[in-house]
Order: sequence, then structure tokens, then C-alpha cells
Amino acid sequence: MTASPEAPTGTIYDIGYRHYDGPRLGRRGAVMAIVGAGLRAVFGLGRSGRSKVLPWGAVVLALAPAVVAVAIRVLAGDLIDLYSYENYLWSVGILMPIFVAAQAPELVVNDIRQRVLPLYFSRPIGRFDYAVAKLAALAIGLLAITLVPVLVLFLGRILAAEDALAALGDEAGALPAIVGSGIIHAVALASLGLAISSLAARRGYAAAAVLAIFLVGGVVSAIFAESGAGLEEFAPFFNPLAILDGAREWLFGGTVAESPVGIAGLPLWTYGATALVLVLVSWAILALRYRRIPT
Amino acid sequence: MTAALLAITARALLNRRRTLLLALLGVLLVLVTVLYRLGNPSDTESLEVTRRLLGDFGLGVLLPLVAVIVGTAAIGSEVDDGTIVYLLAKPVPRWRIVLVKLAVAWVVVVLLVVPAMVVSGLIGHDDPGLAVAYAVAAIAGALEYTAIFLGLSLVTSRALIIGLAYVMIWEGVVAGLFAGTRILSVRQHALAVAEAVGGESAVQAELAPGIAAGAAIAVTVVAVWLAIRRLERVELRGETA
Amino acid sequence: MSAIALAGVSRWYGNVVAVNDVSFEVGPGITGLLGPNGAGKTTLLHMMAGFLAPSAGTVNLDGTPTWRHPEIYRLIGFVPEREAVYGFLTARQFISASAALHGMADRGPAVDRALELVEMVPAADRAIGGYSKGMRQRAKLAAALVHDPQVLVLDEPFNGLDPRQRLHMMDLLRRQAAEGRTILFSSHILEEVERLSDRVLVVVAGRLAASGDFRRIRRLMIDRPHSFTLRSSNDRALARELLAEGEVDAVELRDGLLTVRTGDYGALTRAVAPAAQRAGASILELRPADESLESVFSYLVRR
Repeated sequence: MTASPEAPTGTIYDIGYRHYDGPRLGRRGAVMAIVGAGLRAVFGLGRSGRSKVLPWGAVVLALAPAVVAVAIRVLAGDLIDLYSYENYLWSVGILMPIFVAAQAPELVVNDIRQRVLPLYFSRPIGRFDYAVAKLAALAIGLLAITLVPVLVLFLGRILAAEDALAALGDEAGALPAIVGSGIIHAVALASLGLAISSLAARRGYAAAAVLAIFLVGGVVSAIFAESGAGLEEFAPFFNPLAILDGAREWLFGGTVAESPVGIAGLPLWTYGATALVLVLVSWAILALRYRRIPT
Repeated sequence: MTAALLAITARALLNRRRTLLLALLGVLLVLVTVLYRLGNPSDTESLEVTRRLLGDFGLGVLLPLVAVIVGTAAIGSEVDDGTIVYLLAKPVPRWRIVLVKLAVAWVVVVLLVVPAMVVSGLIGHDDPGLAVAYAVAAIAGALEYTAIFLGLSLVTSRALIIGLAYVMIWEGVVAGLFAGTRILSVRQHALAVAEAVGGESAVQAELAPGIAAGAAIAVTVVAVWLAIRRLERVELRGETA
Repeated sequence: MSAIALAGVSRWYGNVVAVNDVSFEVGPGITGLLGPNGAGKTTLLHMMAGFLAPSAGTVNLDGTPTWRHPEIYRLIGFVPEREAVYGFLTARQFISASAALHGMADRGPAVDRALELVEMVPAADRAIGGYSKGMRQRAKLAAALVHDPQVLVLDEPFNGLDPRQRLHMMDLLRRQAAEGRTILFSSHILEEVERLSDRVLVVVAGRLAASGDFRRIRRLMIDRPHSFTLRSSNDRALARELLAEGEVDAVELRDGLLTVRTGDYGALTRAVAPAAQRAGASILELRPADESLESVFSYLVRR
């Protein structure tokens, strides 16, 4: 591109490739970029409407009961309590695996399938940063289902009470349990879903695999819980959601009536241990998967 | 002509890794039943639990999962990677392609599901009638499910996920809630077949056998007809249109 | 002797028009479909092979529409551009399956013949998944030839072939054409089309820009001047004489070569010899400077 050479003072502007001399964000910046992009992918931002349906639909469905419960609280006082903090997650239980099954594949499968991984790993990131970043994105996204609705419930109770400050004092004790339980569920389910998805060849297969685990586990767990032949002890261990419920109860207390944990009667630390094992195994799978990059 | 179609479809469907994983689900059913039996349950208890194992696990989860994966792969994977052009560039009538693929997929699903269910039924409860009833139900349900998912895979490229959503939402939730929709639920059709074969001791189905059979046949025929229509009109654009 | 006929064919996807009112006939011999990427070549070929319906117009093979008439595949062999093949089959199995799907009863000899034609006999029993790109192309071609079709449609058949393989395939196609077949192939590479085809169809932005022998096409474009290069014993004198004649629009002397531009090709050819005589120069070389397909192509594209 040249400017006009006719004028006595002519300049040629070279608007071509330019070297970048500005600040470089380094490893931290790169990892945050992956997390940010991952979060956008998890909620379908920047993509067609169809990819927003599942994640946002799940979030809305998870929030709806909390909103309804708060509305009832406002109208009818604390006569009726639809949900306690403990059993809320169990009630919306099915939405968590759906969310994970729908969005975990979006995060990892296409990068492998379209051979884009070398682009990531030729940047200044650590060996496991990619997996950690993707995991963080999915877990943060999951918080929208595991934490936000329960917080809505919490805030609703406080704001609906006549004396808000007193209510805050009453309810505040439950806050650690709410936050802790929400984080545990998010991290564990994200780890599990991401690990399975990273092994799949296509997004459909990844989603099917994740759902299969929860469907099969849920069915077997339900059958065993009601079998009455001494198998109730095994019931919770087939269902990842039950395992997490047990871990929650071990750490923060508060029984959920519908969960097979109560029927099983096993010491609660077994659930905590199992949950930990599940998470560690998932992380191991992810680490192994991304140790060698397929070009 | 048909033999070559059968051979290609069979070889493509029996992808070793996928088949192994699906077979593992069936093995899981058997293992769970064995685990149950180790607790030495009574006869009435074992009847009830085996019913639930075969019905909720076998018909409710195992069958649809296997059917959705095999059914969408039968034609779907070829449309997805473009190798369908080699089948379509032949003077083979499209209805024959669909029927052959459906037959092969059906057999594969049956092989992956029914033996596990039979073994599980025999282990769980001593009366073989129960196992037979559910096995027949699974065979019938496999045909209907596979036909639906085969047709679905010609309509959309995301047939697998939509099929899973159908199984979970429609079969799991909606049909449970709204009695009127049961007539369109494949699981209910299958359960009715089980009752017809095994009597009320095997299962108490929600639908009468005649209605279920009619609905099942209708759904299957419509799915196959749709699949043939779509295959006749499938358009291949190529990578750089 | 089979012919494909397109009449008023258009194809659009929503607002995007991929093919715009194209009409032509393809008969025996080799016809090259030439155009830049995205011009609509694959869309046209897929419509001719019955894999795509025209949004308007008709595409017929010997009078039968190609869309939704699977029986035409007895006459057509199609070699798609896409890489995908059944990777787990060997070439022999793939070609044999192709023959079986065509309903051929006695497949063995036909499969062997197809393998020999593409020179793949030694590698025939290895899985296609392990082939190089060139070998895969040949396997696809063999599968398309096994039922001895009258018409061959090939989408970018030379993609990814090395020069030796390209020559080999061109040779193969020429032999097929010599036996009376109708062969249609697409390419965006000028030399390929120039070297191989008897007839050229130039497609640009969905429209048929030109068809026929490429030299004739060139000659038809009279609003661009023709260029010739001349070498003689006295270039300057010759240039002066030619310029004086009036048929010549411009002359250029550079690097020992005389380039002459004229609007009237015929008149110039008649004027060169007398001009040389008057200039006292002997003509050593006279050559059209831009008659290759390249210039045709770029002239057409620049419109």
C-alpha cells in the first residue's frame, strides 16, 4: 500500500505485518484465557442459540424451585418449607449430570478431534495447565446449579423474614455447609465428566458415556435401596450423586430423607473416602490423557 | 448385493472398542444380579427385585442406551464422515439399504442386550418364565428403538444426543407423569409384550397388549418409512461447496 | 456413448447462490471443469452425479434425471473429493464390495482388471486406512471403474498426487476416453485441465463463464488484445514495419524479445511475413504470448 507519490512530500505507509513489542501476559494470562474461553463454551456464549438451550435450561430449571420456595416464604411465612438446604441438591439432582454430559464434551472433545491441541501446548503453559483450566471452567459453570440456587434460598429466607438481621444471624451458620457442599459437588462432577469426555472420540459418545454412568448407577442404586436383602449398604456406591451426598453429610451434617445414604447405614467417612477416590482417579485420567499430545 | 451391504454394515458397526464398552454394560447387569443373589433373598423378594432389574435396568437403561449408540451409528457415522457416498453411488434401491442396515443394527443390539438379560433373569429368580418374557420384550423393543434412532440419524446430525434426551426425558419423566403419552413410549410397548408372554406375574404393564403391539408396529413402520424417504433425498454437498 | 445434459440449472442455499443458470452438455471424450475454489464445481458435479437436487433446471443423463434415480449408477462411476474411505477394508475388498453392490455376479476378474488399471495389484491386500493419499485416490478410482461405466465423474482427482502419479492418472483417463467413455473432471489447476481435456468448462462464481476448446475461447475474447512474441534477426526494423502497417496496437522490445499486441489476430498473421521482408529481417520465432489457459482464466476472473 503506498500513498500518492505525486505530492512533493510523499510517504509510504507500510501497513503490513507488525512485530508485537507490548507486554506479554505469560502463563497466568494464558491459563486465564483458557478458563475464560471455557466458561463461554460451557454456557454457549458466542455460539448459536441451540448450544445455549441445554446449559441455560438446566440452570433455569435448577433455580426455579428455589425461586418458588422463596415466593412461598414471602407469602406464607415459614409455615411451609419446601426445601431445606441439604435436600435441595438432591431434589434437582438429575440436572447436574445433564449439564455435565452436555457441556463437558464441548470443552474437550473437539480440541482432540480437530487436532487443535498442539496450538495450545506450543504456548507458555505448563503440562497440566490445560486440563486444570478446563476443569476450573466446568466447575465454575456447574456452580450455577450446585451453589447459586441454594444461595437464592438462603437469601430468600433472610430477606423474607421480618427481622432480616436476626434472620441473618440465625441462618448464617448454614453458610459454610452451603458453600462447601456446592463446591464439592461442582468439582467432583466436573472432574468425573471431563475425565470421561476426554477419552471419547465424539461429543455424542462422551455425552452418552457420562449419562450412562449416572443412569445405570441411579437405577441400580434405587433397586438395591429397596431390595430389602441386605443390599442397601451397597446402594449408594453405584450412584455418584449419592456418594457426594454422603460426603456432604459427613463434612457438614444434615440428612436427606430420599437419599439411599440414610438407608445404607454405613459410617459416613466411607462416602467421603469414595468421593475423594473418584476425584483423584478422574484427575489421574486427565493427567494421563494430556501427557502426550496427539498431533 | 445384499450380502455386500450386510458385510459392510456389520464390519462397520462391530467396531471393537465401542462394542466392548457396550457389552460391559450387559456384564454389569449380570454382576449386579449376582451380587444381589449372594444375599440369599427369599423367593418373593427375588421376584420383585429381578423384575426391577430386568425392567428398570434392562429395558429402561441398558436397551435404550445400546440401541441409541448402535442405531445412530448404523447410517449416521457414514453420513457423518462422508463414506455414505460409496453406498449411494450404486444402483441399490434405498429401501433395501435402510432395511439391511436396520436388520444388522437390530441383531447387534439384541446380541449385546438379550443374553445379558436372560442370564441375569435366570440368576435373579429361579423361574425361567420371567427371563423369557423380558427377553422377548427386549427383542421387540430393540427393533422399535433401533428403527427410531436409525430414522433420527438421517434427520439430524446430533441424533445421538437427541436420542439420549428422548430416552431420559420422554421415557423417564414424561411417560411417567402423563398417562396419555404412554401409548407412544417404547418402554411401555416392551413391558406390554413382557406381560403378554410371561403373564401378570412377570410384569404388570400399563398398556393392553393389543394396543401396545399396534402402536409399536405403527411407530416402527413410520420410522422406517421416514428413513427411506430421507435417504432417497439425502444431499451431499462436499467439503468445498 | 452417454451424455449428461444440464439445462438452466441453478442451486441455492438460502441466500447463497452456488450455481447460477448453467446449461451445457457433456459427451464422449474428456471435459475439464475449471474454476477457482468456491466457484461451484463440486456442487455441479454432485448434481450431475445425482447427490444433490437442482433448485431449478434439469440435470439428465441420457434423458433420465440424475436426482433420485439410483439406476443411473449402472452408467456412472463417481470419484468423490472427500478423503473418507472404509479404512478397515483392503483395496481388494473395497473394490469387490463396490462390484457386489453393483450387482456384478462374477466379480473376481473385474476386480483384478480394475486393480491392474490403477496399478495397485501389489498393495491390494493392505488396509486402505494405511494408504498414502495417492494410493487412496487410485483405490477410489478403481472402485468407480470396476463396473465398466460409460461415464466417469471425478471431483478434483489430482488433489494430492505427486507429478508421477498425476501423469499416470492422466494417461489412464486418456485411455478410458479413447474407448468412447464420457469423462468429466474438475480442477482449479490450469495445467491439469489444459493438458488433459479436449473441452473445457470454465465456472466462476457459480456461472458458466466459457466452454469449448480453450484456444477458441481465447480467440473469442476480442476486446483484449492478443500478444505475440517474435524473435528475428532485426527486431527493431521489424517492429517499425509492423507499427507502420496499422494492425498492430503496441510493440515492446525487451530482453531481446519483440512483443507485439494486436486486436486483430488474423490480420497480424497475414501481415508478419511481408513486414519481415520489407524490414529485411528473418523471423526466427513467432509465438502467441498468452494463449495458455492461464491467461484465459485470469481474463475471465478479472471481469
